[in-house]
Amino acid sequence: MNSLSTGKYLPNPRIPVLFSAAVLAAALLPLIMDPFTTISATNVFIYIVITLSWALFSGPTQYISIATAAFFGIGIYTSALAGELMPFPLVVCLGGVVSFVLALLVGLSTLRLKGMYFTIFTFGLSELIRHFVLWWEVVMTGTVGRWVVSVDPIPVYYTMLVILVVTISFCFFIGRSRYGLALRSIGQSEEAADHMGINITAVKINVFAITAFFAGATGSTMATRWTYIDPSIAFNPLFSFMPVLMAIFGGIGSITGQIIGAAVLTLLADLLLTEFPYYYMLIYGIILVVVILFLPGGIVGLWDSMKKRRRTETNENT
Amino acid sequence: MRILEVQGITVRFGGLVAVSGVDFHIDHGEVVGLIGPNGAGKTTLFNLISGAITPSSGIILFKGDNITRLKPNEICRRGIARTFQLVKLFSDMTVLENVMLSCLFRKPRVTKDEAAHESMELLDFVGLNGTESLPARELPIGGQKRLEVARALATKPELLLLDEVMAGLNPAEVAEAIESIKKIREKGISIMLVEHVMQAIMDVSDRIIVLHNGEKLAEGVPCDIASNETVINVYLGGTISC
Ligand SMILES: Nc1ncnc2c1ncn2[C@@H]1O[C@H](COP(=O)(O)OP(=O)(O)OP(=O)(O)O)[C@@H](O)[C@H]1O
Ligand SMILES: [Mg+2]
Repeated sequence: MNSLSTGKYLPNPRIPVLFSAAVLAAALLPLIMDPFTTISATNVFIYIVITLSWALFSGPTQYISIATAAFFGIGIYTSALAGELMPFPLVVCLGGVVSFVLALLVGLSTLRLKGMYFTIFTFGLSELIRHFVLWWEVVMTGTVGRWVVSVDPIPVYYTMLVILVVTISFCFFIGRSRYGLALRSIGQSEEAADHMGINITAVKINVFAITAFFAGATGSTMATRWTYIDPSIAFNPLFSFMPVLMAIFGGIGSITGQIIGAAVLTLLADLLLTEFPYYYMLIYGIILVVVILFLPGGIVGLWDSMKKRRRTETNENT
Repeated sequence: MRILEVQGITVRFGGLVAVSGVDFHIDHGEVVGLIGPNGAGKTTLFNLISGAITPSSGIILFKGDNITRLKPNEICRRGIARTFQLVKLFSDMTVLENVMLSCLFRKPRVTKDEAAHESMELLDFVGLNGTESLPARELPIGGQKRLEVARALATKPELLLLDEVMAGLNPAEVAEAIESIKKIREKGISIMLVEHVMQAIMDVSDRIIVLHNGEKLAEGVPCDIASNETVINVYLGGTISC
């Protein structure tokens, strides 16, 4: 019974304590730090949320989606259209809901595709949405861009913090629930999972749509910081690729890894952009290539193998 | 009382008729052997019953209900479980997680502790105790076949379809597998099994169905099948004891 008594299925009691402490520290941050730090932390939160939500579905199922930009962008446009009509928290929720509905439709139409076909289709679909919005704006409204009701950095920071806490908690509990196991089983043998009584279509579509909710809510929040948007800003394909890179960089199978990957790469991008504006993308690319080639398990994988090595060394000494 | 009734089931893959107008039934608590040469359509018949593929024509009744066009997960929840000839385990998940998953998606719901406890008992039953925290891919092939059986049993089936679970086992392991099948049957589970190990099939089956080129060639008690001229010619190749 060892795997049961080692508590594999019980949450580590340190996790809630550490998590609460981190949330408390984050809540106090704007009071003690300068506005620039608050804005930069908001940016980190955004990437953590889209990385976690991407990895929650695509990590275990191995259905690699590159549609995050579509859900993020839909959130942004919801904010632009509804920002004047309702209070800010409601706008954020609405952005999430619209993305959720869109993802349900995308899921129904694409989740029967497998492997590369699924990936390419999600990318094609998000490009299609971008061009559709562009066409709509030019033909129907006669402009390209829009102004978004702006919100102060501090409320935006706290809104992102709430979304972040909800996303992390959700990923944590899903990972430990029967749905976490089901998602992994789908990634390893979808046919067998189906034969074990799991309604694989329902699991895939629902989880995919919920992850889109988080991306959409984040987009709605983010829009208020940009004030001006157009389809190529809102549906920038980088928002689809970044979560993939960040999750791989940190360690795709672990929430901690995803958080670290998103935080490190976001801060690194900020740093490179200010220090080396001309070589920013080049240096960024080289770092990613090196990590992917030499750290197959990401940063967390490196950490684990170091721990393992230390353990075997101490075993050999005794 | 019939638990399964298959009527005129046919499936085509392009020009090939893999299963052609097959009729048979399984009674409650019965063990039915399914034999036939390679490519006879045995696995395809299992795929039809479990919902992995839909037939071109014909119907399948389970406990009197038509299940012909249901999805595999619906058929599983009604009480039919199967193993895969080419094992399809969740290879990066632990042995225990492979079995727990089936428990956790059953109705009525069970808690995680109950699922873990029950899974450990099933692993004991198939002789996989001590391996529960290994990734499934690290089991030897015999162990993987047993895990397939444990995982199928965890869905609490009334009918269990076993596709060559004894392939690749040594004689001692075959003897163990035969004992396990008899114990599963004592739990009240009806069984249909495909096997090329003739002695095992003759030993455990109440009735045997012979498939050849997708058609039902013969059906009967083991001794009749063992002495059936046509069956000897197309499949057995010689007389065997029953
Ligand atoms: N999905 C499929 N598409 C096309 N042809 C198939 C498919 N599945 C099976 N077949 C063909 O149908 C025939 C029956 O195959 P099946 O696997 O059912 O045989 P079997 O009796 O299980 O044989 P074995 O003893 O080798 O396992 C074979 O000719 C096989 O090539
Ligand atoms: Mg076969």
